[in-house]
Amino acid sequence: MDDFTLARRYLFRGKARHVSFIGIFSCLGIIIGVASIIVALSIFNGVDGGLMERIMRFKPHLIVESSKEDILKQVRDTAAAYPEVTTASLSLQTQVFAKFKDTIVPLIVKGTELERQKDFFSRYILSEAGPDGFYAGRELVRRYGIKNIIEFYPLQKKLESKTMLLRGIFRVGLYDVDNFYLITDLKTAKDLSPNYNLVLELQIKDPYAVDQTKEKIRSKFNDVYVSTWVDTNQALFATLKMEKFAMYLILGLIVLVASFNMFAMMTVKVVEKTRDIGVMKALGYTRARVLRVFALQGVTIGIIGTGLGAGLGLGLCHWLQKYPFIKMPADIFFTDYLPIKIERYDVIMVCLVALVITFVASLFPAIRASHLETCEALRYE
Amino acid sequence: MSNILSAFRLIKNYQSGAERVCAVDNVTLDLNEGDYLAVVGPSGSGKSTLLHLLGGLDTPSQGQVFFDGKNIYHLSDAKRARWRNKHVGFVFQFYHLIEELNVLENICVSAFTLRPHAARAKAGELLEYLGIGKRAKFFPSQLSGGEKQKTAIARALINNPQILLCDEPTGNLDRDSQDKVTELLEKLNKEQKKTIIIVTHNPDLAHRAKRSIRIEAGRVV
Repeated sequence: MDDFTLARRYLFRGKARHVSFIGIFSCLGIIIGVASIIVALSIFNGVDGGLMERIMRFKPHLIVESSKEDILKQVRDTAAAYPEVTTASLSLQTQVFAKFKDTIVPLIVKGTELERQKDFFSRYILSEAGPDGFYAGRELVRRYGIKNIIEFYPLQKKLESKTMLLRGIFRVGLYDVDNFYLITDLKTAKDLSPNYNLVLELQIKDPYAVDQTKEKIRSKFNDVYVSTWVDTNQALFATLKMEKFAMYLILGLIVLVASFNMFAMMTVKVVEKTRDIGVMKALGYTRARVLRVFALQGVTIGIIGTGLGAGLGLGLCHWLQKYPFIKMPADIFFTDYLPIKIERYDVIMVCLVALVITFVASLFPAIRASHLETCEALRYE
Repeated sequence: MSNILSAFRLIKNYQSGAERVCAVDNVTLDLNEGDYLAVVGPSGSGKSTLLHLLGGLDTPSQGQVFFDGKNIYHLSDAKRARWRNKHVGFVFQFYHLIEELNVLENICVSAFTLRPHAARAKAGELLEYLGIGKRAKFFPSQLSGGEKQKTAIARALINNPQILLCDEPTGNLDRDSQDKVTELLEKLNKEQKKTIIIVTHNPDLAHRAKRSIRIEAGRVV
């Protein structure tokens, strides 16, 4: 009889064909542990991904700053030819005080090369009224009942009232942008205030590979300052990373607790089977072979528990993706349902860690079993 | 007949608290192929310890055990285990069958050198030889004492060892089963020329052995 068969019999077959409940419960511990980690991490990844998408929805992936407009134009033309760059346009931001009946509201005006931003900005436009003026956020339009003219005071030494046509309505889906932003073309924005900070904004196909583009620009243009969305959100990234690490740690403890359960089960089993171990040795089992029989029980629990746990976890994630019945307040979160994102790397890591922990948990009782003295084991009552 | 197993000035001491106990005291004996030796003596006299020393299960404090002229205690732990698997079969008073395995699996549990189907076939033959062929799929808890001991004997015989070491093999059996096991051991000795050493309290079993020794306080008397 091979060692694996003996291990399996010890694990799942009680006396006279009865199922060994202790083996099944040990497996259940690992199954629940692994499944809960996969589900929790997928929810975290979903929230994390949603947050990233939110950050990148309206903001440029890369900003190039220079005091000279000519240099920015050169960079724009060079970068626009890079295959990974989807949009390259100059833009500036200034502030105005909009007057809606008796209310004065400070708003941000973003001027940009709209013809270059077509692909990026057009996806957020809900309606167009004409070729000139401001695009206003839907929430802003609704809140103040804007019809077709916006009256405002540009940020100048001498406050003078101006009016601008409503060019269209957009909805980005970000509270501050939809409520406090006016978008217009670059020339109009420049005319609003003499002091503005012109920058070049780039959108990249793969935002996570933005550093390569940054390096390309920096190596070619020395007198520009380049920053990426990663640079400007470093604190957020550090927090997310820390949160994920903490989650790994906490969830790892679940598997650790399950493996303690397994360790206890295996230790009890070794005590319970002391006489069997004596018999095995009397029949010619070497220490290594006894160790193998008992370690294989732990490995079997680990493999079955991890496999079923991963299956259950992934099944639950797919189910939650298909039937998003867990609702969330959309005005607080970026979505109205529980976001799920399964990361292959996380699933593999969880499975590997669970396998290693269960193996280590079974190894110590197995070593103890292999070192039992044969005669003492045979005399064990 | 050639010498197969011999013990030379075997001593086994135990430390029991502050007291030093001499379980086996200077025992020397020789066993030839086909010998049938009964070891008798009162409880606690060191019979089982001697059996364990002869089977390489315990380490002597002094003395040597030779198998085919080689000191088995010069072998490493793993090599001694392999030697035991190949050349020695153990039968215990309380059978010591593995409860999770059925009769056939219990017999095959130490058949390392045989392929699984060959081991099962041989186990089947042994069960037929021992007269419990119909119990192959039964579990130990479903067997009588005699059937359990026959299963244990089959397990001891699966690797066709030259030596059979039996520790009180009839000690836990009723009269009828005792007779059957006694006859079986005789049959194995006569038909298969197995060298058998039996530790027993049973005078009938001891009388049916070819020779017997008596041990008291660890010494052969």
